Amino acid sequence: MTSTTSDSRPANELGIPWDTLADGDVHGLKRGVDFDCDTRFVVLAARNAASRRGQVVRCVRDDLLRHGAYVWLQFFDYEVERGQPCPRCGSAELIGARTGFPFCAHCGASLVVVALDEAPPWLVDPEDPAAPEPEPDAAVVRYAGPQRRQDLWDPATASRRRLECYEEVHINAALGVGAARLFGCARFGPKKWVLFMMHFLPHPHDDHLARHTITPIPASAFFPAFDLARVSDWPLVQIGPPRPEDGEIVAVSQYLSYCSATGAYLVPVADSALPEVSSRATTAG
Amino acid sequence: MVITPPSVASIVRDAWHSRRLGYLLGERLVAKSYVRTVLGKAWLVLRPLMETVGMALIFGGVLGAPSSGDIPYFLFLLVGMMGWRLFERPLHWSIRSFDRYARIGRSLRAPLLLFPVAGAGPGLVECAVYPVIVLGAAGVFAVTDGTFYLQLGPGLLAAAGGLVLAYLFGQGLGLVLSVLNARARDVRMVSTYLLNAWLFATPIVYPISSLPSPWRSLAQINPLTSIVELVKWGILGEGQFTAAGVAWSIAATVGTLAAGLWFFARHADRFTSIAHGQEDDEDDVDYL
Repeated sequence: MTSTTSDSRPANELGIPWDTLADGDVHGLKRGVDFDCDTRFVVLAARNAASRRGQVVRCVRDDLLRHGAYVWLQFFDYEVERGQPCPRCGSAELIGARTGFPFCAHCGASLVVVALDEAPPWLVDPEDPAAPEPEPDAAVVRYAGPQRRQDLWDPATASRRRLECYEEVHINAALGVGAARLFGCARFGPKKWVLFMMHFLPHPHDDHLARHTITPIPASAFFPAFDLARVSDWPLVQIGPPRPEDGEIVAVSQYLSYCSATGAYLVPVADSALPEVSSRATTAG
Repeated sequence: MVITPPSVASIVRDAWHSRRLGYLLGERLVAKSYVRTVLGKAWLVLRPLMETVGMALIFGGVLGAPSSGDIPYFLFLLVGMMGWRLFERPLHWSIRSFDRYARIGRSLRAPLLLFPVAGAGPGLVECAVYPVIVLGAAGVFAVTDGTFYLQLGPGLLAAAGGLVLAYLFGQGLGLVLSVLNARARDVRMVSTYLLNAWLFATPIVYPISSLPSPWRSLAQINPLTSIVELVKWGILGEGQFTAAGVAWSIAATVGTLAAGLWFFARHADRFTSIAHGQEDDEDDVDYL
Protein backbone atom coordinates (compact mmCIF):
# COMPACT_ATOMS: atom_id res chain seq x y z
CA MET A 1 0.00 0.00 0.00
CA THR A 2 1.35 3.40 -0.84
CA SER A 3 0.33 6.87 0.05
CA THR A 4 -1.43 9.04 -2.43
CA THR A 5 -1.51 12.77 -2.53
CA SER A 6 -4.76 14.60 -1.95
CA ASP A 7 -4.67 15.99 -5.49
CA SER A 8 -5.24 12.56 -6.96
CA ARG A 9 -8.57 12.19 -5.16
CA PRO A 10 -11.73 12.37 -7.24
CA ALA A 11 -13.81 15.55 -7.03
CA ASN A 12 -16.72 13.54 -5.65
CA GLU A 13 -14.91 11.54 -3.03
CA LEU A 14 -17.37 9.38 -1.05
CA GLY A 15 -19.94 10.30 -3.68
CA ILE A 16 -20.26 13.83 -2.30
CA PRO A 17 -20.08 16.70 -4.82
CA TRP A 18 -17.43 18.71 -3.01
CA ASP A 19 -17.10 21.37 -5.68
CA THR A 20 -20.78 22.19 -5.28
CA LEU A 21 -20.45 22.34 -1.52
CA ALA A 22 -17.45 24.67 -1.74
CA ASP A 23 -19.64 27.67 -2.52
CA GLY A 24 -18.93 29.38 0.79
CA ASP A 25 -22.26 28.54 2.40
CA VAL A 26 -22.77 26.25 5.36
CA HIS A 27 -23.95 22.81 4.30
CA GLY A 28 -25.35 19.97 6.32
CA LEU A 29 -24.75 16.39 5.27
CA LYS A 30 -26.88 13.64 6.71
CA ARG A 31 -25.95 9.99 7.06
CA GLY A 32 -28.19 7.80 4.97
CA VAL A 33 -28.91 10.66 2.58
CA ASP A 34 -25.61 12.27 1.67
CA PHE A 35 -23.15 9.67 2.93
CA ASP A 36 -23.11 6.20 4.42
CA CYS A 37 -19.86 5.97 6.33
CA ASP A 38 -18.40 7.21 9.59
CA THR A 39 -18.57 10.99 9.94
CA ARG A 40 -14.80 11.08 10.46
CA PHE A 41 -14.26 9.97 6.88
CA VAL A 42 -16.54 12.70 5.60
CA VAL A 43 -14.43 15.22 7.48
CA LEU A 44 -11.30 13.70 6.03
CA ALA A 45 -12.75 13.77 2.51
CA ALA A 46 -13.80 17.40 3.05
CA ARG A 47 -10.27 18.27 4.05
CA ASN A 48 -8.97 16.50 0.97
CA ALA A 49 -11.37 18.48 -1.19
CA ALA A 50 -10.30 21.71 0.48
CA SER A 51 -6.65 20.83 -0.02
CA ARG A 52 -7.29 20.03 -3.68
CA ARG A 53 -9.08 23.35 -4.16
CA GLY A 54 -6.53 25.36 -2.20
CA GLN A 55 -9.10 26.25 0.44
CA VAL A 56 -9.73 25.45 4.06
CA VAL A 57 -12.79 23.74 5.45
CA ARG A 58 -14.35 23.75 8.85
CA CYS A 59 -16.37 20.74 9.87
CA VAL A 60 -18.57 19.97 12.85
CA ARG A 61 -19.48 16.35 13.41
CA ASP A 62 -22.77 15.40 15.03
CA ASP A 63 -23.08 11.70 15.72
CA LEU A 64 -26.40 10.89 17.35
CA LEU A 65 -25.86 7.13 17.12
CA ARG A 66 -29.08 5.39 16.06
CA HIS A 67 -30.80 8.75 15.78
CA GLY A 68 -28.63 9.76 12.83
CA ALA A 69 -25.40 11.55 12.09
CA TYR A 70 -24.69 14.89 10.52
CA VAL A 71 -21.63 16.74 9.29
CA TRP A 72 -21.86 20.53 9.06
CA LEU A 73 -19.19 22.11 6.93
CA GLN A 74 -18.16 25.31 5.26
CA PHE A 75 -15.34 26.10 2.88
CA PHE A 76 -13.32 29.29 3.26
CA ASP A 77 -10.67 30.77 1.03
CA TYR A 78 -8.15 31.31 3.79
CA GLU A 79 -7.60 30.84 7.45
CA VAL A 80 -5.82 33.66 9.24
CA GLU A 81 -4.76 34.41 12.75
CA ARG A 82 -6.24 37.41 14.46
CA GLY A 83 -4.65 40.60 13.17
CA GLN A 84 -3.22 39.05 10.01
CA PRO A 85 -4.01 40.62 6.62
CA CYS A 86 -5.71 38.87 3.73
CA PRO A 87 -3.28 36.20 2.45
CA ARG A 88 -4.39 36.75 -1.15
CA CYS A 89 -3.98 40.51 -1.57
CA GLY A 90 -2.35 41.59 1.66
CA SER A 91 -5.15 43.99 2.51
CA ALA A 92 -5.71 44.58 6.20
CA GLU A 93 -9.21 45.87 5.58
CA LEU A 94 -11.47 43.03 6.63
CA ILE A 95 -15.22 43.51 6.80
CA GLY A 96 -18.20 41.35 7.58
CA ALA A 97 -21.32 40.84 9.62
CA ARG A 98 -20.04 38.01 11.80
CA THR A 99 -17.19 38.16 14.24
CA GLY A 100 -14.48 35.72 13.25
CA PHE A 101 -15.71 35.29 9.68
CA PRO A 102 -14.67 38.39 7.71
CA PHE A 103 -14.31 39.01 4.01
CA CYS A 104 -11.44 40.90 2.45
CA ALA A 105 -12.75 44.33 1.45
CA HIS A 106 -10.48 44.38 -1.61
CA CYS A 107 -10.45 40.93 -3.17
CA GLY A 108 -13.57 39.47 -1.51
CA ALA A 109 -11.79 36.41 -0.14
CA SER A 110 -13.72 34.65 2.60
CA LEU A 111 -11.63 34.28 5.72
CA VAL A 112 -11.95 32.48 8.99
CA VAL A 113 -10.06 33.85 11.93
CA VAL A 114 -8.29 31.47 14.25
CA ALA A 115 -7.84 32.74 17.76
CA LEU A 116 -4.63 31.24 19.04
CA ASP A 117 -4.84 31.47 22.78
CA GLU A 118 -1.70 32.26 24.64
CA ALA A 119 -0.39 29.19 26.41
CA PRO A 120 -0.85 29.33 30.17
CA PRO A 121 2.38 29.63 32.16
CA TRP A 122 2.30 26.06 33.39
CA LEU A 123 2.39 24.82 29.80
CA VAL A 124 5.62 26.57 28.94
CA ASP A 125 8.43 24.11 28.44
CA PRO A 126 10.83 24.72 31.35
CA GLU A 127 13.73 23.44 29.25
CA ASP A 128 13.23 26.07 26.60
CA PRO A 129 15.81 28.82 27.25
CA ALA A 130 13.60 31.34 25.48
CA ALA A 131 10.64 30.57 27.70
CA PRO A 132 9.54 33.43 29.94
CA GLU A 133 9.90 33.01 33.64
CA PRO A 134 6.50 31.93 34.97
CA GLU A 135 5.02 34.36 37.42
CA PRO A 136 4.23 33.00 40.85
CA ASP A 137 0.53 32.39 41.06
CA ALA A 138 -1.18 30.36 43.72
CA ALA A 139 -3.91 29.15 41.37
CA VAL A 140 -1.37 27.96 38.81
CA VAL A 141 0.66 26.09 41.39
CA ARG A 142 -2.44 24.34 42.66
CA TYR A 143 -3.56 23.39 39.16
CA ALA A 144 -0.19 22.15 37.92
CA GLY A 145 0.26 19.66 40.74
CA PRO A 146 3.32 17.43 40.97
CA GLN A 147 5.71 17.13 38.06
CA ARG A 148 4.52 13.66 37.12
CA ARG A 149 0.92 14.76 36.78
CA GLN A 150 1.97 17.75 34.74
CA ASP A 151 3.76 15.43 32.33
CA LEU A 152 0.81 13.09 32.03
CA TRP A 153 -1.69 15.84 31.39
CA ASP A 154 0.51 18.15 29.39
CA PRO A 155 -1.76 19.14 26.48
CA ALA A 156 1.32 19.78 24.35
CA THR A 157 1.83 16.03 24.47
CA ALA A 158 -1.76 14.91 24.59
CA SER A 159 -2.72 16.88 21.50
CA ARG A 160 -0.09 15.16 19.34
CA ARG A 161 -2.45 12.56 18.00
CA ARG A 162 -1.03 12.09 14.54
CA LEU A 163 2.21 10.68 13.28
CA GLU A 164 3.15 13.90 11.50
CA CYS A 165 3.45 15.63 14.87
CA TYR A 166 6.65 13.74 15.67
CA GLU A 167 10.18 14.03 14.39
CA GLU A 168 11.33 10.49 15.10
CA VAL A 169 9.03 7.50 15.33
CA HIS A 170 9.82 3.89 16.19
CA ILE A 171 7.43 1.00 16.33
CA ASN A 172 7.68 -2.10 18.41
CA ALA A 173 7.06 -4.90 15.96
CA ALA A 174 6.72 -7.43 18.77
CA LEU A 175 3.05 -6.55 19.08
CA GLY A 176 2.43 -7.67 15.51
CA VAL A 177 2.37 -5.28 12.63
CA GLY A 178 -0.60 -6.97 11.02
CA ALA A 179 -2.91 -5.66 13.69
CA ALA A 180 -4.85 -2.43 13.43
CA ARG A 181 -3.00 -1.25 16.55
CA LEU A 182 0.68 -0.54 16.82
CA PHE A 183 2.73 0.24 19.86
CA GLY A 184 5.67 2.59 19.55
CA CYS A 185 7.79 5.39 20.82
CA ALA A 186 8.17 8.83 19.28
CA ARG A 187 10.09 12.02 19.86
CA PHE A 188 9.17 15.65 19.44
CA GLY A 189 11.33 18.60 20.30
CA PRO A 190 14.92 18.00 21.39
CA LYS A 191 14.21 15.24 23.90
CA LYS A 192 10.52 14.81 24.60
CA TRP A 193 9.62 11.16 24.13
CA VAL A 194 6.22 9.59 24.25
CA LEU A 195 5.02 6.01 24.18
CA PHE A 196 2.02 5.66 21.97
CA MET A 197 -0.65 3.30 20.83
CA MET A 198 -1.62 3.91 17.22
CA HIS A 199 -5.08 2.91 16.05
CA PHE A 200 -5.84 2.55 12.37
CA LEU A 201 -9.37 3.35 11.31
CA PRO A 202 -10.13 1.46 8.12
CA HIS A 203 -12.40 3.00 5.57
CA PRO A 204 -15.20 0.72 4.36
CA HIS A 205 -14.76 1.56 0.69
CA ASP A 206 -11.43 3.26 0.12
CA ASP A 207 -8.10 2.04 1.50
CA HIS A 208 -6.55 5.42 0.90
CA LEU A 209 -8.93 6.92 3.40
CA ALA A 210 -7.69 4.72 6.23
CA ARG A 211 -6.49 7.09 8.90
CA HIS A 212 -4.83 6.75 12.24
CA THR A 213 -4.92 8.31 15.64
CA ILE A 214 -2.34 8.15 18.38
CA THR A 215 -2.78 7.99 22.12
CA PRO A 216 0.48 9.35 23.54
CA ILE A 217 1.76 9.03 27.09
CA PRO A 218 4.93 10.82 28.18
CA ALA A 219 7.70 8.25 28.32
CA SER A 220 9.11 9.97 31.41
CA ALA A 221 6.13 8.64 33.34
CA PHE A 222 7.62 5.15 33.01
CA PHE A 223 11.21 5.94 33.91
CA PRO A 224 13.26 4.08 35.06
CA ALA A 225 11.19 0.98 34.20
CA PHE A 226 11.31 1.99 30.57
CA ASP A 227 14.79 2.18 29.09
CA LEU A 228 14.95 4.86 26.43
CA ALA A 229 18.25 3.51 25.12
CA ARG A 230 16.50 0.43 23.80
CA VAL A 231 14.26 2.47 21.55
CA SER A 232 17.01 2.71 18.94
CA ASP A 233 16.60 -1.04 18.40
CA TRP A 234 13.01 -0.56 17.36
CA PRO A 235 12.45 -0.12 13.62
CA LEU A 236 12.13 3.43 12.41
CA VAL A 237 8.98 4.68 10.74
CA GLN A 238 9.05 6.83 7.66
CA ILE A 239 6.09 9.14 7.50
CA GLY A 240 4.51 10.13 4.24
CA PRO A 241 4.74 8.89 0.68
CA PRO A 242 7.61 6.68 -0.48
CA ARG A 243 10.65 8.36 -2.00
CA PRO A 244 12.67 7.17 -5.00
CA GLU A 245 15.59 6.15 -2.77
CA ASP A 246 13.40 3.86 -0.67
CA GLY A 247 13.80 1.00 -3.10
CA GLU A 248 11.26 -1.76 -3.19
CA ILE A 249 8.17 -1.20 -1.08
CA VAL A 250 6.67 -4.33 0.40
CA ALA A 251 3.21 -4.23 1.88
CA VAL A 252 3.42 -5.76 5.34
CA SER A 253 -0.20 -5.20 6.20
CA GLN A 254 -3.10 -3.11 5.08
CA TYR A 255 -1.63 -0.19 6.94
CA LEU A 256 2.10 -0.74 6.91
CA SER A 257 4.76 -1.12 4.21
CA TYR A 258 8.47 -1.87 4.43
CA CYS A 259 11.24 -0.09 2.52
CA SER A 260 13.98 -2.53 1.74
CA ALA A 261 16.64 0.09 1.05
CA THR A 262 16.23 2.15 4.22
CA GLY A 263 14.96 -0.59 6.49
CA ALA A 264 12.20 1.71 7.66
CA TYR A 265 8.52 1.09 7.84
CA LEU A 266 6.17 3.27 5.87
CA VAL A 267 2.89 4.51 7.28
CA PRO A 268 0.54 6.23 4.87
CA VAL A 269 -0.48 9.70 5.92
CA ALA A 270 -3.55 10.56 3.94
CA ASP A 271 -3.66 14.26 4.55
CA SER A 272 -0.08 15.14 5.32
CA ALA A 273 -0.18 17.89 2.70
CA LEU A 274 -2.49 20.01 4.81
CA PRO A 275 -0.93 22.90 6.64
CA GLU A 276 -0.83 22.68 10.39
CA VAL A 277 -3.21 25.60 10.96
CA SER A 278 -5.86 23.97 8.80
CA SER A 279 -5.57 20.70 10.69
CA ARG A 280 -6.14 22.47 13.94
CA ALA A 281 -9.18 24.32 12.69
CA THR A 282 -10.95 21.23 11.41
CA THR A 283 -11.00 19.56 14.77
CA ALA A 284 -13.92 21.67 15.89
CA GLY A 285 -16.21 18.64 15.73
CA MET B 1 -11.71 44.11 11.26
CA VAL B 2 -14.93 46.03 10.85
CA ILE B 3 -18.12 44.22 11.85
CA THR B 4 -21.24 45.89 10.48
CA PRO B 5 -24.65 44.77 11.76
CA PRO B 6 -26.63 43.40 8.82
CA SER B 7 -30.00 44.74 7.76
CA VAL B 8 -33.22 42.92 8.57
CA ALA B 9 -33.75 42.22 4.88
CA SER B 10 -30.31 40.64 4.52
CA ILE B 11 -30.68 38.30 7.51
CA VAL B 12 -34.09 37.18 6.26
CA ARG B 13 -32.68 36.70 2.75
CA ASP B 14 -29.69 34.73 4.05
CA ALA B 15 -31.91 32.52 6.16
CA TRP B 16 -34.24 31.86 3.24
CA HIS B 17 -31.28 31.07 1.01
CA SER B 18 -30.13 28.47 3.56
CA ARG B 19 -33.56 27.01 4.25
CA ARG B 20 -32.41 23.44 3.62
CA LEU B 21 -29.77 23.92 6.27
CA GLY B 22 -32.48 25.24 8.58
CA TYR B 23 -34.58 22.17 7.99
CA LEU B 24 -31.62 19.90 8.77
CA LEU B 25 -30.78 21.89 11.89
CA GLY B 26 -34.36 21.54 13.11
CA GLU B 27 -34.43 17.85 12.29
CA ARG B 28 -31.15 17.33 14.10
CA LEU B 29 -32.50 19.05 17.20
CA VAL B 30 -35.63 16.91 17.17
CA ALA B 31 -33.47 13.78 16.91
CA LYS B 32 -31.08 14.98 19.59
CA SER B 33 -33.90 15.75 21.99
CA TYR B 34 -34.71 12.09 22.30
CA VAL B 35 -31.20 10.64 22.35
CA ARG B 36 -30.72 8.22 25.25
CA THR B 37 -34.45 7.79 25.82
CA VAL B 38 -35.97 4.33 25.71
CA LEU B 39 -39.29 5.43 24.23
CA GLY B 40 -37.63 7.73 21.68
CA LYS B 41 -40.02 9.72 19.55
CA ALA B 42 -43.02 8.24 21.33
CA TRP B 43 -42.43 11.09 23.78
CA LEU B 44 -43.66 13.45 21.09
CA VAL B 45 -47.15 12.08 21.67
CA LEU B 46 -46.81 11.13 25.31
CA ARG B 47 -45.70 14.52 26.61
CA PRO B 48 -48.67 16.60 25.41
CA LEU B 49 -51.06 13.77 26.22
CA MET B 50 -49.81 13.29 29.79
CA GLU B 51 -49.63 17.03 30.32
CA THR B 52 -53.20 17.63 29.17
CA VAL B 53 -54.60 14.64 31.04
CA GLY B 54 -52.85 15.83 34.20
CA MET B 55 -54.16 19.38 33.85
CA ALA B 56 -57.68 18.13 33.03
CA LEU B 57 -57.67 15.99 36.17
CA ILE B 58 -56.47 18.83 38.37
CA PHE B 59 -58.48 21.73 36.97
CA GLY B 60 -61.53 19.95 35.59
CA GLY B 61 -61.71 17.14 38.14
CA VAL B 62 -60.31 18.37 41.46
CA LEU B 63 -60.83 22.13 41.15
CA GLY B 64 -64.01 21.86 39.09
CA ALA B 65 -63.08 24.47 36.50
CA PRO B 66 -66.00 25.05 34.12
CA SER B 67 -65.94 24.38 30.42
CA SER B 68 -67.49 26.49 27.70
CA GLY B 69 -71.03 25.50 26.66
CA ASP B 70 -71.57 21.75 26.52
CA ILE B 71 -68.02 20.98 25.47
CA PRO B 72 -66.34 18.31 27.66
CA TYR B 73 -63.65 19.96 29.77
CA PHE B 74 -60.89 17.71 28.42
CA LEU B 75 -61.62 18.75 24.85
CA PHE B 76 -62.01 22.40 25.86
CA LEU B 77 -58.64 22.31 27.61
CA LEU B 78 -56.99 20.39 24.77
CA VAL B 79 -57.98 22.92 22.11
CA GLY B 80 -56.94 25.85 24.30
CA MET B 81 -53.63 24.19 25.02
CA MET B 82 -53.08 23.64 21.31
CA GLY B 83 -53.19 27.41 20.75
CA TRP B 84 -51.07 28.12 23.80
CA ARG B 85 -48.48 25.48 23.01
CA LEU B 86 -47.98 26.79 19.50
CA PHE B 87 -46.92 29.99 21.16
CA GLU B 88 -45.04 28.59 24.14
CA ARG B 89 -43.15 25.55 22.81
CA PRO B 90 -41.41 27.27 19.87
CA LEU B 91 -40.61 30.17 22.20
CA HIS B 92 -39.21 27.81 24.83
CA TRP B 93 -36.97 26.09 22.27
CA SER B 94 -35.97 29.31 20.52
CA ILE B 95 -34.71 30.83 23.74
CA ARG B 96 -32.25 27.96 24.14
CA SER B 97 -31.29 27.77 20.47
CA PHE B 98 -27.88 29.42 20.72
CA ASP B 99 -26.91 26.98 23.45
CA ARG B 100 -28.07 24.06 21.36
CA TYR B 101 -26.18 25.16 18.26
CA ALA B 102 -23.15 26.45 20.15
CA ARG B 103 -20.58 24.35 18.30
CA ILE B 104 -22.00 25.09 14.87
CA GLY B 105 -22.38 28.77 15.63
CA ARG B 106 -18.85 28.96 16.95
CA SER B 107 -17.23 27.13 14.06
CA LEU B 108 -19.22 28.09 10.98
CA ARG B 109 -20.61 31.26 9.43
CA ALA B 110 -24.19 30.01 9.38
CA PRO B 111 -27.01 32.56 9.11
CA LEU B 112 -27.77 33.33 12.75
CA LEU B 113 -31.48 33.74 12.11
CA LEU B 114 -31.66 30.03 11.35
CA PHE B 115 -30.80 29.15 14.93
CA PRO B 116 -33.90 30.46 16.74
CA VAL B 117 -36.14 29.52 13.80
CA ALA B 118 -34.77 26.00 13.35
CA GLY B 119 -34.35 25.74 17.11
CA ALA B 120 -38.12 26.00 17.42
CA GLY B 121 -38.42 22.81 15.36
CA PRO B 122 -38.96 20.40 18.27
CA GLY B 123 -41.63 22.74 19.63
CA LEU B 124 -43.43 22.72 16.29
CA VAL B 125 -43.23 18.94 16.10
CA GLU B 126 -44.74 18.67 19.59
CA CYS B 127 -47.54 21.01 18.56
CA ALA B 128 -48.19 19.03 15.39
CA VAL B 129 -49.26 16.15 17.62
CA TYR B 130 -52.08 18.16 19.20
CA PRO B 131 -54.51 18.03 16.25
CA VAL B 132 -54.16 14.25 16.23
CA ILE B 133 -54.92 14.08 19.94
CA VAL B 134 -57.86 16.49 19.52
CA LEU B 135 -59.29 14.33 16.73
CA GLY B 136 -58.79 11.19 18.80
CA ALA B 137 -60.45 12.73 21.86
CA ALA B 138 -63.33 14.05 19.75
CA GLY B 139 -63.77 10.55 18.32
CA VAL B 140 -63.91 9.05 21.80
CA PHE B 141 -66.49 11.64 22.93
CA ALA B 142 -68.49 11.04 19.75
CA VAL B 143 -68.79 7.39 20.78
CA THR B 144 -69.44 7.97 24.50
CA ASP B 145 -71.65 11.11 24.29
CA GLY B 146 -73.05 10.58 20.83
CA THR B 147 -71.96 14.12 19.85
CA PHE B 148 -69.10 15.14 17.62
CA TYR B 149 -68.01 18.40 19.17
CA LEU B 150 -65.61 19.65 16.49
CA GLN B 151 -66.78 22.21 13.93
CA LEU B 152 -65.50 21.02 10.56
CA GLY B 153 -66.33 24.12 8.56
CA PRO B 154 -64.93 27.46 7.42
CA GLY B 155 -64.32 28.27 11.07
CA LEU B 156 -61.25 26.08 10.83
CA LEU B 157 -59.66 28.84 8.74
CA ALA B 158 -60.06 31.21 11.67
CA ALA B 159 -58.49 28.59 13.93
CA ALA B 160 -55.61 28.17 11.50
CA GLY B 161 -55.15 31.96 11.46
CA GLY B 162 -55.09 31.95 15.25
CA LEU B 163 -52.50 29.20 15.33
CA VAL B 164 -50.30 31.07 12.85
CA LEU B 165 -50.58 34.22 14.97
CA ALA B 166 -49.67 32.27 18.10
CA TYR B 167 -46.58 30.83 16.44
CA LEU B 168 -45.43 34.15 14.97
CA PHE B 169 -45.96 35.95 18.27
CA GLY B 170 -43.83 33.34 20.06
CA GLN B 171 -41.19 33.46 17.36
CA GLY B 172 -41.00 37.25 17.56
CA LEU B 173 -40.41 37.08 21.29
CA GLY B 174 -38.00 34.20 20.74
CA LEU B 175 -35.81 36.31 18.47
CA VAL B 176 -35.22 38.80 21.25
CA LEU B 177 -34.99 36.37 24.14
CA SER B 178 -32.68 33.93 22.35
CA VAL B 179 -30.13 36.70 21.85
CA LEU B 180 -30.49 37.88 25.43
CA ASN B 181 -30.19 34.31 26.68
CA ALA B 182 -26.94 33.93 24.78
CA ARG B 183 -25.64 36.78 26.92
CA ALA B 184 -27.17 35.70 30.22
CA ARG B 185 -28.84 32.39 30.90
CA ASP B 186 -30.97 34.04 33.55
CA VAL B 187 -33.34 34.78 30.69
CA ARG B 188 -34.41 31.19 30.27
CA MET B 189 -34.76 30.72 34.02
CA VAL B 190 -37.00 33.76 34.31
CA SER B 191 -38.90 32.94 31.14
CA THR B 192 -39.92 29.55 32.52
CA TYR B 193 -41.72 31.16 35.45
CA LEU B 194 -43.15 34.02 33.42
CA LEU B 195 -44.58 31.64 30.85
CA ASN B 196 -46.23 29.59 33.59
CA ALA B 197 -47.84 32.74 34.93
CA TRP B 198 -48.82 33.78 31.40
CA LEU B 199 -50.53 30.41 30.87
CA PHE B 200 -52.88 31.03 33.77
CA ALA B 201 -53.44 34.65 32.78
CA THR B 202 -54.73 33.42 29.43
CA PRO B 203 -58.22 31.83 29.32
CA ILE B 204 -57.11 28.27 28.66
CA VAL B 205 -57.87 26.28 31.80
CA TYR B 206 -61.02 28.37 32.30
CA PRO B 207 -63.43 30.02 29.82
CA ILE B 208 -63.19 33.78 29.52
CA SER B 209 -66.91 33.96 30.25
CA SER B 210 -66.20 32.77 33.80
CA LEU B 211 -64.16 35.91 34.51
CA PRO B 212 -65.87 38.86 36.22
CA SER B 213 -66.57 41.73 33.84
CA PRO B 214 -63.66 44.06 34.79
CA TRP B 215 -61.18 41.19 34.61
CA ARG B 216 -62.56 40.16 31.26
CA SER B 217 -61.68 43.57 29.80
CA LEU B 218 -58.26 43.38 31.39
CA ALA B 219 -57.68 39.92 29.88
CA GLN B 220 -58.14 41.42 26.41
CA ILE B 221 -54.86 43.31 26.87
CA ASN B 222 -53.15 39.96 26.69
CA PRO B 223 -52.62 39.42 22.93
CA LEU B 224 -52.94 35.68 23.42
CA THR B 225 -56.47 35.94 24.76
CA SER B 226 -58.06 36.71 21.40
CA ILE B 227 -55.73 34.27 19.66
CA VAL B 228 -56.74 31.37 21.92
CA GLU B 229 -60.41 32.34 21.75
CA LEU B 230 -60.15 32.43 17.96
CA VAL B 231 -58.74 28.90 17.95
CA LYS B 232 -61.45 27.65 20.29
CA TRP B 233 -64.17 29.31 18.23
CA GLY B 234 -62.81 27.90 14.98
CA ILE B 235 -62.52 24.33 16.25
CA LEU B 236 -65.22 24.02 18.91
CA GLY B 237 -67.61 26.81 17.94
CA GLU B 238 -67.23 28.21 21.47
CA GLY B 239 -65.13 31.33 21.99
CA GLN B 240 -65.55 35.00 22.77
CA PHE B 241 -63.55 37.56 20.91
CA THR B 242 -64.07 41.01 19.46
CA ALA B 243 -62.81 42.52 16.24
CA ALA B 244 -60.79 45.01 18.27
CA GLY B 245 -59.28 42.21 20.30
CA VAL B 246 -58.22 40.30 17.19
CA ALA B 247 -56.85 43.49 15.63
CA TRP B 248 -54.83 44.13 18.76
CA SER B 249 -53.47 40.56 18.66
CA ILE B 250 -52.47 40.94 14.99
CA ALA B 251 -50.84 44.31 15.69
CA ALA B 252 -48.98 42.91 18.69
CA THR B 253 -47.78 39.93 16.66
CA VAL B 254 -46.57 42.00 13.72
CA GLY B 255 -44.96 44.55 16.04
CA THR B 256 -43.21 41.88 18.10
CA LEU B 257 -41.97 40.12 15.00
CA ALA B 258 -40.65 43.33 13.44
CA ALA B 259 -39.03 44.46 16.67
CA GLY B 260 -37.59 40.99 17.17
CA LEU B 261 -36.04 40.96 13.72
CA TRP B 262 -34.60 44.44 14.21
CA PHE B 263 -33.14 43.55 17.60
CA PHE B 264 -31.80 40.28 16.26
CA ALA B 265 -30.09 41.90 13.28
CA ARG B 266 -28.57 44.56 15.49
CA HIS B 267 -27.33 42.49 18.42
CA ALA B 268 -27.22 38.78 17.55
CA ASP B 269 -23.61 38.65 16.41
CA ARG B 270 -22.28 40.72 19.28
CA PHE B 271 -24.10 38.82 21.99
CA THR B 272 -23.63 35.36 20.59
CA SER B 273 -19.94 35.83 19.79
CA ILE B 274 -19.43 36.64 23.45
CA ALA B 275 -21.28 33.46 24.37
CA HIS B 276 -19.35 31.42 21.84
CA GLY B 277 -16.09 32.68 23.19
CA GLN B 278 -16.86 31.16 26.54
CA GLU B 279 -16.21 27.56 27.47
CA ASP B 280 -19.72 26.51 26.71
CA ASP B 281 -20.76 23.09 25.56
CA GLU B 282 -24.24 22.41 24.29
CA ASP B 283 -24.10 18.95 25.83
CA ASP B 284 -24.35 20.64 29.22
CA VAL B 285 -27.72 22.03 28.30
CA ASP B 286 -30.93 20.41 29.43
CA TYR B 287 -33.03 19.48 26.45
CA LEU B 288 -36.51 18.86 27.73
